[in-house]
Amino acid sequence: MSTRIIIITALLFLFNSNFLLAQNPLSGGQIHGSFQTDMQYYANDNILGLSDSSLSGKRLGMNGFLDLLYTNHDFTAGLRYEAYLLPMLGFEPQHEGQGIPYYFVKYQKDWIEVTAGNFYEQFGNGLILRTYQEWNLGYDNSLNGLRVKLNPAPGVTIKGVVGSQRYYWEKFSDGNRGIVRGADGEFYLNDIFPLLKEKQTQIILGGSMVSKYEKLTTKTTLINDSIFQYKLPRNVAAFAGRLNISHRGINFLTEYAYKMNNPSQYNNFIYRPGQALFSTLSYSQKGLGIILAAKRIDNMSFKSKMTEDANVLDINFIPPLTKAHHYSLANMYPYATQLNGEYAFEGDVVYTLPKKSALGGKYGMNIALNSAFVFDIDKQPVAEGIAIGQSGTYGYTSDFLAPGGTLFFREFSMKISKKFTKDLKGVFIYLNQVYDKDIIEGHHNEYGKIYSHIGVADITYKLSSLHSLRLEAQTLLTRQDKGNWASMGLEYTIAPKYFISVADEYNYGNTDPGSRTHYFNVAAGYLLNTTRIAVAYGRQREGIVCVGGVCRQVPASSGLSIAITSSF
Amino acid sequence: MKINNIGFVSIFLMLLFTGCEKIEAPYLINKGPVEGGGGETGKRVILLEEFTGHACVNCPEAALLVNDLKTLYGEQLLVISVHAGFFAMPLGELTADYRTAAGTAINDYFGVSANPSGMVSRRPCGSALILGKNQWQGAIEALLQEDAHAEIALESEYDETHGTTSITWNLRVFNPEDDDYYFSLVLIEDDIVSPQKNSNPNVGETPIIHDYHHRHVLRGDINGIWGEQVDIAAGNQVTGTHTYTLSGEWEPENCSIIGYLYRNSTKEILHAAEVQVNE
Repeated sequence: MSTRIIIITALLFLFNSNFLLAQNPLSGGQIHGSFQTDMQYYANDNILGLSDSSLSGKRLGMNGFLDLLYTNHDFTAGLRYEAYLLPMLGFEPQHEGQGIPYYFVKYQKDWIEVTAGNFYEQFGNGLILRTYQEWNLGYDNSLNGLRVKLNPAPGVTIKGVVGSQRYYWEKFSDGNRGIVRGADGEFYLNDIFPLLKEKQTQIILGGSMVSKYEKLTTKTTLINDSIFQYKLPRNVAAFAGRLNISHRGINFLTEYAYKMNNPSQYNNFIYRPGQALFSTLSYSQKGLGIILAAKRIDNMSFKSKMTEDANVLDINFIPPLTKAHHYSLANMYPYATQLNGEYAFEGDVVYTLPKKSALGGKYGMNIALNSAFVFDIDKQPVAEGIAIGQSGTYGYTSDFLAPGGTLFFREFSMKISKKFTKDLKGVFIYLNQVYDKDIIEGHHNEYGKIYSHIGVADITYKLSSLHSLRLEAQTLLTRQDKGNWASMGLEYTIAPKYFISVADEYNYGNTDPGSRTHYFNVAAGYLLNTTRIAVAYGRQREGIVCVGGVCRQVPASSGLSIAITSSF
Repeated sequence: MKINNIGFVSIFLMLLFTGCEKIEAPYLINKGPVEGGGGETGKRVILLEEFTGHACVNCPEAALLVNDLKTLYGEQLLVISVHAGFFAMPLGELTADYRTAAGTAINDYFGVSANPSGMVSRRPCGSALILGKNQWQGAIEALLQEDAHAEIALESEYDETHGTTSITWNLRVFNPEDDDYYFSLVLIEDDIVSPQKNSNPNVGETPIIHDYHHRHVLRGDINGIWGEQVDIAAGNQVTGTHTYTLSGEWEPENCSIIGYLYRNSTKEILHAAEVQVNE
C-alpha cells in the first residue's frame, strides 16, 4: 500500500507543478509502464554447501521494479520504483532497500530538449561517457542532474550534461563521489553542406569532452619507513573524437579517446594518461554481412570515485569485441573487458544460403562465423627499479602498436541455423575458446588458461500448429578448471500461452568425483498478452553473468524461483 | 540561429575551462619518516576487523597491507584478524583451526562471504559495511581525525603459574546518546606460524606459504560473544574485571587483550584499546 502511495504521490507531484498546469497536462497524455519481479526461495543443499549457516537466514531473495512513463506532446516524465528485499544471491548487499531511485522530467520544444532528474546518456561509442541500466547485472550508473540537447541547425546535435551518478541507494552528498560534466557535438555533414545532400557517401563527425570533479581526498603510502602523500587531481578530463563514413553497404566507424592523469584504485594509482581507439568496418548486402573490428584500450577505467574499483560509478563504457552467447555452456567462460589494457580484434561473417540452392535446400540456411582475439597491450617499466604499474608512478610506457605477449581470450565460433522441413528446424553451434581465468576473473596464478570446445544443438519440432517440442543439447570439453560438462533440456510449448521444461547440467568431467554435480531444473510458464509468469525449481551453478563485457559473479543456489514480467 | 550558436559554444567553453588538471612528477610528496606511534591523545582509536582464512589465496597480500596500515597509523589503529567461514576451515595440509565462536558469530551476523574483507570500526563506507582491502585505507582516513567518543583503560595481570590473566577495565563515554552501549573484550595472538595458501609470488611462495606468520589472530571472547552491556550516564566511569585462562598452546608473550565499545543499534565501534597480556 505504501508503495502505491509513493508512486501516486510522485506522479501527482509531477503532473501538478505550475509548469505543467500551464500545458494542461491531463489532456492527451499517455502512461506506459513495465513491471518485473524475480523471487527465489533458497533451500539447503548439502552438495552445494548451502546450509542455514551459509544462508544466514536469508531464505528469500526478491528483485523487482516498476517503470512508469508519462508522455504528453512535448513533455515526458518517468520514474522507476525498485525493490531488493532481500537482494537475490549474486547481487551486492548494498542493493538492499526499496524506493524510487530514478525519476525525471523532460521537455522538448523546437531546437532544445531539457531533462531534469535522472537520465541515461551516451557520447559516441561510450568511450568517455555512457550511463545505462542493466537489470540482470544489477547495474545502474545513471546521472542525476541536468541534460540539455540542442539542434541549432540541420545535422547538428549538441549535448551537455552535468550530474552525479547513482550509487545504490546512497544520496549524493559532499565528497561521497564526484560530479560529472560533459558535452558532445555531432555533425552530420550531408545535412550541413548542401553539396553533400544527395551524395551516397554519408559522413558524421563527432567530438566530446567529459570532466569529473571530485572533492580532494588524501591518500598516503609507506616507502622505506617514510610517509608519502599522493598528489591527486580534483578534476580529471577526457576527450574523444569520432568519424563515421558510410557508402552504400560499407560503413567505417572510428573513435579515439584520451583521458588525462587519473590515479585511482582501479589502476593502482598510476598517473599515466588513458587512451582508447575503437574502429569497425562493415559491409552488408542481401544475404551477407561482414564486420571487422579492432580496439586498443590503455588505462581507461574512468569512475566518478577514485577509490572505487567495483562495477559501479563508471563514467565510460568500452564496447566489447567478443560475441555474446545465449546458451548456458557457451556462457561458462564469458569475457570481461580489461580496462587497464587490452588489444582486441573481431571478425564476424553472416551468410544466408538462398532457398532452393544446393547447400541451402528448400528452406535456405544461415551460417554465422565469428572470431575474436584479445591480448594484453605492451607495457614496459618507466625506469629501472620501478615495477610496471607501481603505485605513485607514471605506471609504464607502451608502444601503441605493439601487442603484449599475453593472450587474454580467443574464440572461434560457427553457427548454422537450418530449417529442414515445414515442422523441423535446428540451430547448431561449435565454439573453440581460450580463456585466461586468472586475468579475466582477477586471480593470481590459480587457474591459468582454460582451453575448451563447446557444442550446441537446438532442435525444434512442431507437433501441430500450436504444439512444439524443443530439445537443447550442449557439451563443454576441457581439461582445465572443472573439466567436462554436458547439458540437456526439453521444452514443450503450447502456443501462445504455456510452456514446460526440464533440464540438467552435469559436471561429469570434474576431477573430484564428489563435485560431479547435477544441476537439474524444471520450469513452467504462462503468457497472456504482455504478461509472463514463470516458475522454476532446481539448482543453479555458480557462474559469471556478463552483459557488454561487464560481469557479475553468481554463486550456486538451489530452490524455487518465480519471475513475473508485464507491460502496458 | 546566432543565439543558438552562442548557446552551444558557451557550453563547450565552460566545460573546457573547468575540467583539466595535469599533475606533474614527482607524484608523491615526502611527508617525512613514520613517527612510530600515532595514538594522539583524545583521538578516536580505530578497529579494523579483518576477515581472513588460511585457504584464502589473496589474504597474504591483504595482510601485508594491514602491516603497512599499522605502521602508518600506529596506536590509532588496532587489528583483529577473524578466521571464520569457508576459507578458515581445516583442509588438507592446512590443519590449523583458528575459528572461534565469536569470530563465526560476527562473520555470520554481518554476512561476510568473501575474503579478504574487513570492517573499519563497523562504520559504513558509502553504503557498504564489509569493505574490500582497497577500501580500508580510505575508511580509516575518514575516521582518523575524529575526536574520541570515549576513553578506555585496560590492565592485564598475567599469572604464569595458572596461565590466567586478570583484566581490569575502565571506560567513560563523553557524550552518550540514547542507545544501548556494549563493551567487548577479546584475546588475540600475534605471529602464529602455520601454512597459508597464497597466489601472489611477490608476497611469498605459491600455492602455499608453509611457514606463514599469522598476525592479530582472534583467539576468543572474554566477556561473551557480543560483550556486555554497560550502563553509561554522561561522565560516569564504568569499571569491570574478568579472569581469562589462556590455552596452553598459545604464547602469552604474543597475546594481547583488545577491548572495544560499540553502540548496539548500529554496532559501530566508537573506541578501542589494547593491552599486552604479559605487560
